Amino acid sequence: MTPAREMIEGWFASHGWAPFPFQQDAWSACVAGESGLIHAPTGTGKTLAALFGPVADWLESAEGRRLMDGSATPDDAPPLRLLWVTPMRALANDTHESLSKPILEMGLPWRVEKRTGDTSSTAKARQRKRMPTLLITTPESLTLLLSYEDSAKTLAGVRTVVVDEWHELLGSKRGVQTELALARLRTLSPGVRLWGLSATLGNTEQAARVLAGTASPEPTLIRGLSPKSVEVESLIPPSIERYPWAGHIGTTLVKDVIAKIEQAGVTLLFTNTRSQAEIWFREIVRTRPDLVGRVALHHGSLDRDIRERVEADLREQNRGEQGGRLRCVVCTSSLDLGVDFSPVDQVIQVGSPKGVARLIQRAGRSGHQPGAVSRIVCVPTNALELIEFACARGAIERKTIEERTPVDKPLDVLSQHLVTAAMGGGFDDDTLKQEVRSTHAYRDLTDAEWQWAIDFVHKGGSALGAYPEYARITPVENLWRVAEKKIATRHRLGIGTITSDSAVNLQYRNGRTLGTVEESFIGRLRTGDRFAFAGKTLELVRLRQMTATVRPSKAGRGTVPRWGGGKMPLSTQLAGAVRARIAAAGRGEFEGVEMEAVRPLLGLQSSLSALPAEDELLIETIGLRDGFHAFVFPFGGRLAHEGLGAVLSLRLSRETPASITAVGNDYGIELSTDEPIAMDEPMWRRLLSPDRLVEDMLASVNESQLARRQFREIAHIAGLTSRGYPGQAVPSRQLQASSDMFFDVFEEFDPQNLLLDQARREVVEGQLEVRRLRGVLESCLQQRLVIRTPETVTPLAFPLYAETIRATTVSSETWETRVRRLAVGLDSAAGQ
Amino acid sequence: MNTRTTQEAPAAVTTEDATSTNASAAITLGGERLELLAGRAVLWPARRTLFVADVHLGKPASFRDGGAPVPEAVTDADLARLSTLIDRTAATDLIVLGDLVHDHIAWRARTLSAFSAWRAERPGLAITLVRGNHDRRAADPPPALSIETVDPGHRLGPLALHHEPVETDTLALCGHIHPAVVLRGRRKGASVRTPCFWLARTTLVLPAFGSFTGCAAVQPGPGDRVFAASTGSVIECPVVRLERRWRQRSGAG
Repeated sequence: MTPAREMIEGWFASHGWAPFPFQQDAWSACVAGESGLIHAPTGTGKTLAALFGPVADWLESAEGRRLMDGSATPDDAPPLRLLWVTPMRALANDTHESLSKPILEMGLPWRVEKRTGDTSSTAKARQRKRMPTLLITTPESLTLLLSYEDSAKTLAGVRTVVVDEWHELLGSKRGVQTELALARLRTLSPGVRLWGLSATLGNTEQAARVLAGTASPEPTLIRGLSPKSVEVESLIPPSIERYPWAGHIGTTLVKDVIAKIEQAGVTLLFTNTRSQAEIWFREIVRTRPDLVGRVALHHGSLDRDIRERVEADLREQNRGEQGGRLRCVVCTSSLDLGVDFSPVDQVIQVGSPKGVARLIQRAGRSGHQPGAVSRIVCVPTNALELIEFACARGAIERKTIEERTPVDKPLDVLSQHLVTAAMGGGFDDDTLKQEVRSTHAYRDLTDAEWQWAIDFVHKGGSALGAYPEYARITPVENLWRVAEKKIATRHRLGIGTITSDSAVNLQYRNGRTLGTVEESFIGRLRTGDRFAFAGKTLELVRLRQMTATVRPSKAGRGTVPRWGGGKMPLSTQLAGAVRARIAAAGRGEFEGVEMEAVRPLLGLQSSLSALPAEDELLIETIGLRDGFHAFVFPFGGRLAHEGLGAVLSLRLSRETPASITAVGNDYGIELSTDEPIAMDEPMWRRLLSPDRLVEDMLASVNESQLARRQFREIAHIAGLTSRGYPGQAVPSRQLQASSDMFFDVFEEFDPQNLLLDQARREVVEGQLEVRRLRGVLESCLQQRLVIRTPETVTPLAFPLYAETIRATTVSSETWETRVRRLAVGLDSAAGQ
Repeated sequence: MNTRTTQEAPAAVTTEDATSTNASAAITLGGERLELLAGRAVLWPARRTLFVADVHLGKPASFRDGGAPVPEAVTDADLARLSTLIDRTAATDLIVLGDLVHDHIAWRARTLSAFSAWRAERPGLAITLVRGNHDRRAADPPPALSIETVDPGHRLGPLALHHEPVETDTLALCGHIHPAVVLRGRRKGASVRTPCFWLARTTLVLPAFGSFTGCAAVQPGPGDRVFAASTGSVIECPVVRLERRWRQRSGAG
């Protein structure tokens, strides 16, 4: 054993631990100069596996040897060697704590610091003069570092980069931004080692390859401790409604959930959306007022102070204070990542987790010792979700976990990167092109696309001839550079790929901030209106610019804000499993308590229509008072179904002139028209044909507003629209324009603009999941069509039917009442 | 921001389906017949006067200056649209209700030369500019353009000419807020935002004329009338919402 290794293992021994073999493997690989990926569930020692490689590497340097010999103690901390990239700045504090501790205890002279959006500008300026040995940062702050003229000098000594929670970045444009930054680092510091830390994914090898880049040798995969076993328990409602509906927040089980909370020490209760978290929090304290103060709320729109207080409370429980205050935290994906919450005894999931990986991740928040069993209690918000719970359990047993697909060639991110590189010391065309192509995302970047991106930031794209006043980058002595300071300033403000809807700050009259809500929600409220936020009922006092002043309200309950995004489609794995379970039910097989519980519902489905076998595609057409409805059930996930809905209505409108409304959910699609349409099997075959799929999707995307909406994000990233962070003064009001304005101008005057093209591509590929949709249609070809004309809406069709009503109903309250009435009516009409 | 609230509190809904379609719509304001044109302008036939608001010349140049690529073709297209309107209506007077230019960059070479050339082709046209907030920051037009510049509140017969909406009992024409209306289609996500004319009591608010200007959805009050000005047609929309707010749009200009 090397002296360095002895010192490290000594530290483990001082805590009464021994390193796991996978940790030792990771250290050796890193010292040997390899790059790779360490994948293991949360809380199994990945951080230490990644930290001690670089530590050993330093200990074996001349400086490190002198420390170990005792021959000399360095007077000053070594220069920057290790970059630690974390996806959320909220995690930086915890990461700082857990990395500093061993370094301090081992007596290493390393300086460990953070550099995120929260770091003060003085601290940042000091760091740029002299970097710490280990810098913890975010993808955005790392890119900002690259935008400084002297970045080559600052970053040349970096020997290792660790990217924490890589699975969270992979699959997003932030991941691409990280890939580009890593490519820059490979150039600035040849031989730099790149290590990713990740939860286990269906495509772990690809994840490693994306991180390492295409030009590097094969990355090393290190598999951590095998996933601890996960036990999934479902709360079965005493009576099952035979007509489940989508979007309805079933809080009927709140008493059972409270009973579960009382059985355990500390519970994390996960919901899928921020609105649901607000609703569940409210229902819990309304049902049991004595729990006020012992239940907390945590979601991404709450003020950072509020969130940090909850996190601190959770950690306090950790310090062994028995009978601590906190019993339950109602949260969203805001607590999916990082932060070691060892005291959590129980995890409850409300609603379908939509994917196996997410359920495992959330379950892993409890029983945080390596190898311990994680338990998760699943609470259905509608009866069909019980099937999804059963499927998730099966998938965990078979270890089928979803993949995360990396993003391909986004030109908006490339445009942003070109300006960053031009600022960070300038670049030469060919050299940077090669560097960019060494990333996985741009491995197939064509010369034409590269040239377009250069032209876009130089001349503005093909539409602009030569306007000297534009030119974000200009050639100076054979290098592309940014000449004007104001362009550089504006670019730094806009770095990053996270876009959010315009968020309005909420504050009390004394100035205390509470968090943010979307402008579209608060804009509909009038002075004096009440709404629920941060677990409180608030009353709107006034709305000025982007700040809403509120005061606590004693009366009433108030509406709950809806935040955009966050609606995940059912993963392919789970959707396929649901399909299989329904087919099994059709054969009379009901395996497990969940399937037993939904037996009456599926029985009604079978008697009214059919339970499709796996080689069958179920289609139901019904004429009702409010029009004609056709339901198709391919079980392909919500996004693919929304795409298919758009394509089907386009194709149907070509066959018959009708105004068609399409709605999709995870199980199927509904098409509705005012007048009945005779739809026979040949017609369905034409509608469901995979031929000309992309063309038809593009046509329907153009017709709808989807591309326009997608363009908002692209316009932000490509630096067209300047963004002000919530609460921060915008750079110049004169220079604000909405992405809509750019979209219109480009469509009219620069139709060849590749960013428009990208918007359409992103809608088709990302939003509407064209690949999955193609798969769905291709399997439809093999399937037998089972076309039924039930007397009334079936249980499988009901959630879709309820969604259609939403489109024509004014408020959510009246919608819920109407749907509930419908469900009761249908249920009694269906009889026993 | 000037907010006025009424007592009633009905369910909040925006305007829905259109009720009538036409290339223009006529309203009577203080006994004067005014035509609302689909080209986002108002014609006063009795005086052969054409009104536009918020042209924002030079905005593309100003954006390019700030590093955002907006083609100059926008300016050329806007001037061409203005020419068509003047020719078609045979107007002898053009009145700009504020914000003829976006900022001082408009008076720099490229935009100025395009506008000067346009002006030179119409020596007989009288142009009056009611100073808007942007004009004030940008300085008055060069004398060579022979544009008469007046302050808001300028009277023209029974009409008071403003840039920003004012609470008044006299008849007023103004611009500034770039009004728009949201037309909802039946299909999910099929809503469109269209510039509109907004008759709020005795004040007629014009849509922004410039193509690169953005707009904000209006919140009309009781008795107000709203006319969507979409491509080629002016459509009166039923007013459902009953709380009038003069609301500055967020994508400012």
